Amino acid sequence: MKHSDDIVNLFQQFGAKADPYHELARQQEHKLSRERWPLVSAVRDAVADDVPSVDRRAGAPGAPAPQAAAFTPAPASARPAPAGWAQPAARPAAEVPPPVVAPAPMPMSPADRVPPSAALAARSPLSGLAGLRAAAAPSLSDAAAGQAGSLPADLPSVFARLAGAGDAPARPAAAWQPRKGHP
Amino acid sequence: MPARVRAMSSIVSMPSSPEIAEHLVQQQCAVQWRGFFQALAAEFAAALAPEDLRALMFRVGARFAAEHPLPACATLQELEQAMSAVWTRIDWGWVRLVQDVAQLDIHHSLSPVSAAFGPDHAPWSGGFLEGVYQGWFERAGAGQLKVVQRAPADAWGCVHLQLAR
Repeated sequence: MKHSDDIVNLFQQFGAKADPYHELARQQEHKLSRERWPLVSAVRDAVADDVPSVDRRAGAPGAPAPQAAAFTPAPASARPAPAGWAQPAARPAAEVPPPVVAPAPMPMSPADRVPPSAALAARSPLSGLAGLRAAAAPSLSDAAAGQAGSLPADLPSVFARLAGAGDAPARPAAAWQPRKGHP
Repeated sequence: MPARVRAMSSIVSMPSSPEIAEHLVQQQCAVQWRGFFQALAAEFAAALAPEDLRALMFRVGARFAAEHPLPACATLQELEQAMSAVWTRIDWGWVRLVQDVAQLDIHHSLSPVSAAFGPDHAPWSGGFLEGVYQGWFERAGAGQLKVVQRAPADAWGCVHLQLAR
């Protein structure tokens, strides 16, 4: 959106401060935009809680807590500089920002073991508008898959369990087999 | 599934053109042998009933399993890797073993059997894979269980079998 700061520049010409001045036209344009494209407002409201803070310094609101075993990047001087790239002069320590501490990976719970597409759909604000949030929720078949996934995988246990599964129908009745005269 | 195939499957879609799909399927069997196998299959089918042909292919598969023994495996994942190692070494696709409560699903991908013998003979030529997996599972300790093919192979040679009681 193109806008002009003519009023601010004019104040500066006279050495005055333009702080008390409010550009009403800009707010009016925002209001018209929101009324014209309601999807923009819907997306903004939907992502309001999901967007993490960009300020990742320790102690900043929303910044991850530093971990004891977290990765600390090597100092810049220890890394090889690419050819033709001049190293900047060392800055005073007060100007050097503290190293960014990467968050430790979270332990994965069974509820997190959904396909990446489903996990992304659950986080996407547009998925709510498209009805994808319900689709991303674990289904009954997912629950059954989770149950099968928790079965012991060592071969003696697998074979013993399958051999003892005779009480339940071990397989569907309609096994596919070729029939005489029907190649 | 090999990592290379997994990576490709995430970025490559299946061909939408039937001509391309048919061409790729034919590539699964060398042109040097295709005519021979299809004449052999036609002669077999003229002389034997499908169930007899299936039993014959099952015995061929069991012999293949005996001649391609798997290393000792402790878990289902190790068994799947050992089986897939044999298949990928001879360019016969790969296998995925999926546990369910009452059966073990065997998903074999890209078997060239149908491409070699022709889709008309898929109802009995699939007995080969049944025999191979039966032989491998028996040697792994599942002698009381039986491998059964659940559906005919699709055009790409993907076959669904099950191990159950």
